[in-house]
Amino acid sequence: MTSMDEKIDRPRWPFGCTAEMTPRDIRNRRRFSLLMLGWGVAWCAARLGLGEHGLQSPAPRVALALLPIAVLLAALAAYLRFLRHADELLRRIEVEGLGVGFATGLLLLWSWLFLERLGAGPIDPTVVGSLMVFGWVAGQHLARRRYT
Amino acid sequence: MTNRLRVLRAEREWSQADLAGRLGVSRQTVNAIERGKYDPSLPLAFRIASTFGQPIEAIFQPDAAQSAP
Repeated sequence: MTSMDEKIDRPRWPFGCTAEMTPRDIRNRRRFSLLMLGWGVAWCAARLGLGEHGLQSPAPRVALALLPIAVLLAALAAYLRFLRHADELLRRIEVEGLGVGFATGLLLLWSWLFLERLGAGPIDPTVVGSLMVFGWVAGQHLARRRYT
Repeated sequence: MTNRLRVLRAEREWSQADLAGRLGVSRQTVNAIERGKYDPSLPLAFRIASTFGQPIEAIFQPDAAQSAP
């Protein structure tokens, strides 16, 4: 390998390789990641607070139910900003990942009907969401291997 | 699509990181273009041509399969 054949390190699963991202991409992605972390915390807080032994007053319950939604909307806005300004190859990898994630969710939702006819229970939306995220990550990994 | 990016970069003794900085893209993108794994967008192709002071056709050539009608 000559000095001109510069090796690209394989990205560290699952967060990619920030050394290969532009400074703007790193900033935008970090903002999105922090908001997603905040959403995770808000989601857990809502689960606990709205549970059997949680808050009883209506107003705080409503606020707690809306908190994860508000944080997730902010995270989605941050992700769109990240995509719009991203390095073009990184954008392609992210979009292909989104395609796989979307297809995973669609496949599950539209196919579960037949599985129910075979005896499966009703589908849990949390499971669908989780598998969509898994499909998203897997799709990014496949795209990264294709293009790098 | 084939390209002469690596040759042109070597003539100027630029690293991939140097070229990536000049083009405003990641080193991963420059590496993928040089290895033929990724074809740049038109705006990026124009920026590459402008950076090297050559027409796009002198840097990028379609594959035989792509150029066939």
